[in-house]
Amino acid sequence: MKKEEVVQLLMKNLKLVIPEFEDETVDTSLSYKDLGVSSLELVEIVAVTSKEMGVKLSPTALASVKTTEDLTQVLMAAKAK
Amino acid sequence: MSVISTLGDDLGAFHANLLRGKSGITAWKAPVSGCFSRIGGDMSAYDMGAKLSSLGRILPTAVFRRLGKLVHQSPRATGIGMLIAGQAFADAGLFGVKIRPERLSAILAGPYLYDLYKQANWLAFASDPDDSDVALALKEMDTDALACIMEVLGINGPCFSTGGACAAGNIALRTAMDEIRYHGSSAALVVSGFHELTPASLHSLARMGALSLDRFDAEPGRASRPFAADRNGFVPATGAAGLVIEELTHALGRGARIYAEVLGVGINTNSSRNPTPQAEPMARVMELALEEADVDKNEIDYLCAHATATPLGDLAEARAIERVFGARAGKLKINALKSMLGHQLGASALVEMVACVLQMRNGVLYPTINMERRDPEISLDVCANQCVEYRPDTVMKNAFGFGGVNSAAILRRYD
Repeated sequence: MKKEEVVQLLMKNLKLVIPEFEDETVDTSLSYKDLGVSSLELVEIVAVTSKEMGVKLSPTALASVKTTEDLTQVLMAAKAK
Repeated sequence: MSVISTLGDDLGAFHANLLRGKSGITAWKAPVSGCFSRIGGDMSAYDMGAKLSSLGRILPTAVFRRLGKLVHQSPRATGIGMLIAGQAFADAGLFGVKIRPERLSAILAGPYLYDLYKQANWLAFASDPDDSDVALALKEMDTDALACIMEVLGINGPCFSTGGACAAGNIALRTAMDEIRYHGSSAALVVSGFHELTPASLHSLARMGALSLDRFDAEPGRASRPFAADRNGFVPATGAAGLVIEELTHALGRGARIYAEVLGVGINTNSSRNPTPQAEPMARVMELALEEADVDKNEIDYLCAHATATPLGDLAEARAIERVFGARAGKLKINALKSMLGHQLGASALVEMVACVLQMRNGVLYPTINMERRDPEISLDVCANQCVEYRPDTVMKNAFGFGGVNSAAILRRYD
């Protein structure tokens, strides 16, 4: 899976969980905190995305995730395993 | 006040449908093979999106935005609780009123919102643990709907749920009164959500002999027949309601529209696990309510019965009414709203309390429908089949629940 595809998937699911982002272009380098995404919303986005990618993600893998880019790396690494 | 039911999701429609004796009972839209329960007051196709949009016209923008987001992210039952709360709060004119947020409390009448959500998640988990909702452990708590309601409304007084099975509405009302009387709240929101049972629970009720079965499957609207000679059990149903109660001087001070005054609630129990209804404690709880409310029994001029249409329950309640009101019992105006609404379980008392207030305000009593032949053992005036023009001043609302919980609330017209 290409990086752009994962980012696209994450953007789709961000909008699924938080419809307020529907019409916005989201800066993937911004932290989820700065975007106003709560920790609960983030785990919901991760749950939907990892299911769609067919990866199993340990909860500990998210500890260092701050931005969409961080999360993309974690998901791609899990997919490559 | 607010209501969401099979007979309407605004006060006007709800009143109009009850007035003309409409039944909200149909065949279940998604019957489960092998489950004996085939009919009920089904809200599974209720359009929450339309309700949400309609609230956009009456809620402040920021409140509406929080509501939309949280409804989207929540189980259905939690969403219903938020819609009910938002509408009740708006109806009470509390948005924009300067009150310290910690003086506004919320009581959830019956923490029974999440059965279908939990069932769906347990089934999903069984197929793949990752298919269950990642936030299940948060969203299945009785506090979750309350937390959402508090966030939507921007209030942060005490919030908790009270149980009491089908008496939950009255118990929550008394708890809310106590928050105002003893714990400094200026106003308290009393909310019930949908108490939707799983097919397994419905099947259990059927097997225990509690439900009306078979006879009226082809004509579901005729199945719920409280006080009738041929009643054969209750018809489960879904609904939700919300009430705002407020300290009187506070309400007067802000020029609030006051629908009615809450005078008191009596509660007792049967001390028996067996769900067999007993007239004695039912009579006693009505007397307790009169004592709490400091009202003479002769002042009660309308009684909204619990009357679920079980053979034993209705007879026990009728006996209890005769015991409390003596020779006057036969003249007292009584009705059984479950004949139209079915039994909305944990939400029933609160939904019917909204109906009590509407009857007081409109000077008319709703009919008890399906009364083809009254039980010869029951000689009460139950407003059989037709609404009655009558303006009650002081009403009693009975509610009894599994666990032998008995309750009676007394409200009075305030105008």
